[in-house]
Amino acid sequence: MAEYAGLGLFLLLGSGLVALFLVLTSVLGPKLRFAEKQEPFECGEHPIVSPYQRFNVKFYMVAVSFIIFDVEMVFLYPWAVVFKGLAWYGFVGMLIFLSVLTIGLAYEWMKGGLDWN
Amino acid sequence: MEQILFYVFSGLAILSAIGLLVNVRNTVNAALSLVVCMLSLAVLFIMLHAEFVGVLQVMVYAGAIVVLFLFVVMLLNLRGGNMGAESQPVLKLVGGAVAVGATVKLATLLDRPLKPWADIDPEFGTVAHIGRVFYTDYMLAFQVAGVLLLAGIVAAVILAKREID
Amino acid sequence: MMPNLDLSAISPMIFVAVGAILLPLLEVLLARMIERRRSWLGRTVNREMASTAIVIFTVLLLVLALLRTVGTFDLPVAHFNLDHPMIAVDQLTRFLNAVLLISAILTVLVSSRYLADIGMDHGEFYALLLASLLGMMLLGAATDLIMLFLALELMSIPIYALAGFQRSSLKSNESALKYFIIGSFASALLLYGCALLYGATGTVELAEIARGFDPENPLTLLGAALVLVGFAFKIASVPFHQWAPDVYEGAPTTVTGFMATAVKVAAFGALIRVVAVGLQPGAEIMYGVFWWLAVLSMTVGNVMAIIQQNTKRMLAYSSVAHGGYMLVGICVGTQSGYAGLLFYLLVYTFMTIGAFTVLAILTRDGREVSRIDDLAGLHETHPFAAIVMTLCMFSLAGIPPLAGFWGKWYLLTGAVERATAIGDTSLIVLAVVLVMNSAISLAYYLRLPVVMYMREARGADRPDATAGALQTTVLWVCALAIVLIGVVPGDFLILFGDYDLIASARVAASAVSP
Repeated sequence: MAEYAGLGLFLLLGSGLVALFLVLTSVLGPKLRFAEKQEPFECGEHPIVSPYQRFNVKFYMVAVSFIIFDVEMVFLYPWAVVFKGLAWYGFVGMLIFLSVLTIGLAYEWMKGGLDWN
Repeated sequence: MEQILFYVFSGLAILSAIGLLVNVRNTVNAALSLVVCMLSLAVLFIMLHAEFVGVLQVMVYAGAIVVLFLFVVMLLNLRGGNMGAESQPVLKLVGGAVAVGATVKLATLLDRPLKPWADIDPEFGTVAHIGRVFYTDYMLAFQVAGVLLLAGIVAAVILAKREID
Repeated sequence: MMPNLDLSAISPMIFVAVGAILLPLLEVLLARMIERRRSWLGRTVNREMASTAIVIFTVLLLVLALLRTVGTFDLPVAHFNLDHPMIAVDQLTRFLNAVLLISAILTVLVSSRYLADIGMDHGEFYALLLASLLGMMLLGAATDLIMLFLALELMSIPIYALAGFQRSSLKSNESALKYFIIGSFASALLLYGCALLYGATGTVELAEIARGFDPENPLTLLGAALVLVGFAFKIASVPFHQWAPDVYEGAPTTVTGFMATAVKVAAFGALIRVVAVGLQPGAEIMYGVFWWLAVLSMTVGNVMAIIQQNTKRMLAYSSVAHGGYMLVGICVGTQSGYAGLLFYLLVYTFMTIGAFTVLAILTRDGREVSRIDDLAGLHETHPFAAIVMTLCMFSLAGIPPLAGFWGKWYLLTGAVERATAIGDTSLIVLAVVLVMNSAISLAYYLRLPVVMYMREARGADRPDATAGALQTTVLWVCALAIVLIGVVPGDFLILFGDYDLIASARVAASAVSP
């Protein structure tokens, strides 16, 4: 546990500092609220549409691809740590795994899943 | 010290999980509660010397998966009023009763002393240990995970791609 | 460090995996060829040719896998990794794999034309189907909780996507979403159960779990209970069945057929292994759970099926009821009980795929023949489909001498044998409930033949059915199988005559090389 003491201290200091700033601004900052000021800032214009817009499904494709390749990377991490001890067996295993996912990437690419238009 | 930290973070995990339920109508807040919950869990994992699982918890869950949740929330753009239109008080009551009953029953069952844990190798759960076991004994599971990810890509493309040729 | 591998043990799974991995690539490459007007064998590649190539490739791999499975049926237990077996290839696995492959082949043959009919003729369908099939084959073979969960997910996730494959149909979307949410919930429960079992016993291997199983330990019991609930969701047994009618109704018809058969086969196969090996020390406690699940599934499934107007919903409730019949085999828990259950799975696959094939044939331009009454007059427009549908209904109802009758017969005799052997009346009650439910089920199974043969079609609503050659083949296969298994049922049950399934599953689970 001791090796995490620095990390814990850092976390405490960081969150303490943020909390301090928030409290200080809310206590010390000048407060003058009226209707116009509460509106979202739109370059001085009145907002014309609700900011709650439906996102395009493309964003979802990006997010899904991100998760899948994020998980792939997670698998690489412990493999890299013990790479030497695994000999060619581990190498071939990872090669097969990566080829399968590369096929997935090629499929998504050629299918236009990565195109924005 | 360790005990204090354990209680702080498990308490935080439980509180944020409850916060997630309370915030069910405001989905973005609920997703942020989930992040807090995941981060607390990550701390608990690290305290158990399962550093790798802890890091995964932050990277995959608190990072990638919550991002996906937020995207879906924005994709659907359900504002408060749309949800819970068909509130079923009877079902809620029955569900709540079952949950409370099961918790009480479990608590009484767990009251008796559990068997002491066997001593665990200090190596157990380190990244190197996971790597050694995972890429030899669990090679088949590793490859199956690869096919599962591929199937995930194909499924996502076929369901979400706007125009398919 | 070099593990002791035996690739030939899992060669059928490798065939399926190769298909699942290469099919997406093949699909995009063919699409590109169409786009650029490339020619092959002197003809410009078009969508039809591409689809044919994909179907041929898929069926070829599946047939190779099936031949390999059947050819190695008599071999002793084999393991992929002898140092750390996560899966066991024993008679149980081989039989399940054979049934799963048959189900998949029939589904592919029906789907090629059906997909064109609903305007979703994409190669991804077969890729997802094979990925799911790979998960099913591994699920029945898993002797390790980690493999069990991975296989379950690999089975489920492609199936969720397949349920929503008809993207233009709101019902299909609803089906996929419902299946996904309920299925994930069930997977989460099962995973929690696995984690608790690991916590209580310190191992993920089924044989070791049996050794460390302490019925006094609440963690063990809770873990076992959650694992069973997860399985109960997957096999749609009452009270964990509510998703089934909506999902079955909305999914594309051939997917429903695959889902109703293959998912059940794989889940029951895994359930046998989990119950007979890993949780065996808790058999007495679980008996009561399975008894109630069986009685409720049979009764609720059959009663609800009677009041359905939609053919697919009716078949969904019928599938719930059949899950209940199969649970009788789990309750019996002896060699003959499990053999009867496996025989039932084989028979059930042919009956159900046959019925859904007829429904798939009747789909035209994306419009389904959904109501039972819409089948009126089918014997005029497509006499052969009407005959096959009638055979399937009679067989599902358990009318002798068709295959379905023998399925129920072996379950019944297994239950009665066991009951007399240990003097337990509750098994007799179960057998009586099974017989009574078969009688109830006649009410809705006979309704279809009555509508098809005795009611006049109403003008334009007359079902139009022109089956493709492959679809007709599937109808023939199902019809012949139902009749043939009905005539010589013993020959199929004898597949297990010499094998003690329980002992085999246990040996397979505990085999570790010295």
